[in-house]
Amino acid sequence: MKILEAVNVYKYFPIDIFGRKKIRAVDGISLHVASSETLAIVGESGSGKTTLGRILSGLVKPDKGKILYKGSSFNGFHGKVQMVFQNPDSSLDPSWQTYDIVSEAMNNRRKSLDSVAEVLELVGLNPAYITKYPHELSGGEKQRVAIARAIAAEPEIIILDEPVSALDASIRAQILNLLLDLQEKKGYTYVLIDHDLGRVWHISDRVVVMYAGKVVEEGKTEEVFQDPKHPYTIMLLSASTSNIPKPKINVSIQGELPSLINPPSGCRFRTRCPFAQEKCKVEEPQLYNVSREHEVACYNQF
Amino acid sequence: MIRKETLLKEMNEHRKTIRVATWKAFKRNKISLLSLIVILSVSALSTVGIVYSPYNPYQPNFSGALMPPSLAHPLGTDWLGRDILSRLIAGGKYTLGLAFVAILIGATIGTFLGLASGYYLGLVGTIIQRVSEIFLILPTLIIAALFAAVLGTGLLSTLLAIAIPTIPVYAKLVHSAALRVRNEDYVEAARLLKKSGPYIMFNHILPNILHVVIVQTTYYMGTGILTVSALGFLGLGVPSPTPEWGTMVGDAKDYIFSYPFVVFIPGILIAVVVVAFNILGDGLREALDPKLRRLL
Repeated sequence: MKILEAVNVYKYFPIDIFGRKKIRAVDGISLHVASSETLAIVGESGSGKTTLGRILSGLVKPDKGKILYKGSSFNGFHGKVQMVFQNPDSSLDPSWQTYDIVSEAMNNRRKSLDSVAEVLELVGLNPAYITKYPHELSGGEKQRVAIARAIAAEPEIIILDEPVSALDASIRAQILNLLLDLQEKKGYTYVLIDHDLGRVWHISDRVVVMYAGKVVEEGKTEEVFQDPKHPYTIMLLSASTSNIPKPKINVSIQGELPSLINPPSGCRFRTRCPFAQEKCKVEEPQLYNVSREHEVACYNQF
Repeated sequence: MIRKETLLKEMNEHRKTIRVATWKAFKRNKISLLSLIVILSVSALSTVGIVYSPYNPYQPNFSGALMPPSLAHPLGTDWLGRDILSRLIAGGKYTLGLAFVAILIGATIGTFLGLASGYYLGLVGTIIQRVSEIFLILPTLIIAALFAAVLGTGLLSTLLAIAIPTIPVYAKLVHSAALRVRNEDYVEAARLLKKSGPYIMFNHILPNILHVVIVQTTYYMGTGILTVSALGFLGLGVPSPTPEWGTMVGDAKDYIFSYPFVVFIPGILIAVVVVAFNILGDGLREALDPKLRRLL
């Protein structure tokens, strides 16, 4: 069942006061998230994946297109989508104690010391933590409190915006396991925004690869990782140091993300693509199905 | 299970430890502690001290005019033989009180405007900021002269002349501070929890920029006192015979060469209080910044 859907969404950020120059952060994206699955969105920094996550959460209104929650379009917030942010230092109000942070997410009837302690227990924190201010917590503990706040709101979907990137390597596995446990217990749907392909490989059911504001490949994680169809996906996989399947051909990273103000004509990846043809300059390749659930936007076939 | 009462008690006690730590950090800076003592003593003298005023501040005594400081008159007497110490004690509530009330009114209104424009941005925010900028270019003294002309000199026009130019200063200051906080992830998290704009403004943004407001208000108290005195000196403020400190300096300026103490004593007092507020502001800035809390 599709629980969350993005239908042809656009988000341009104007960078001059007249609105003539715009950063095309999200440039016509459609995707869906199925109930209780983990959908990963991967791409380089600046590919628009964070903006897409914020559009899915409702924090950013798309310029065009709509977001459907269980099939009906919504505007603003309905409380069923919560978010865990990348930077644990900025995600907790420094003047609030843990009790207040977690209980803020509960409605008044449920707000009590017991229910806050219960949620803290779920994220692996002792009830004694309710007295602590954020500056008294370590990075991993802060992220646990942020997760506690998200689940205290009784959400269905949690958007994880690089939830462990800012943490110490030794803490990352703990937090990821915690998130997986919670999903198993409560059946949450996750949208994981991450650039680390190792984590995406281990956690996600499906993966969306973004490049310069567009989706270039989408499909079951296993299928996309083991049989990547887009040269950009192949490039990302070749470059990863994580323990993931190595692609059949090796495409080394070259060049940088093009300007999102004046993106290249045709295929946006052609400026870095070793397989670019004349056609790629003229016409933009559209997503097509290579198998039932595997889509790619490229003229070449690998 | 959880010991409910103990935990609740611990939470409140823990909240107190932050206050204690802030006080300790403030206390470490001896000069700002001294400034606080100076300000508190002058304020105490101007309020409860009135009871101990040695003479009637308005009662002339022509036989004892322009007496230099002595045991009977610790700070001397003015050209009408009025005891300068008694006049300073009586005048404190005008100089300090007016500055305090005016800055408080200006700061409160300005802070609300700045919060609203910093959180909502858009048309409301733009209008608030542009109007603030227009008011910002009007000098305090011109506004004071305007109010003096329209309402006559007195408490009310001095109050307005100081409060109104203060509003846009706070509106701009709080606006930029609020802009920094509104993009923090905890504000976004609160929006995802369907919290209203005013709720977020007062519960998440204001507490995290309050230290900016408090420090600015301390500095502005000094400026406010200076402005009250300047208006009094120019004859645009509280009129004589009210012993407002600036008015006392202004009225006594003819004696500056022959009997300098009549001018300098209230003048020095104004300077000391203004400097004390500025130093106190520096001390508070260091002690209150929540970003520095982790260093305690």
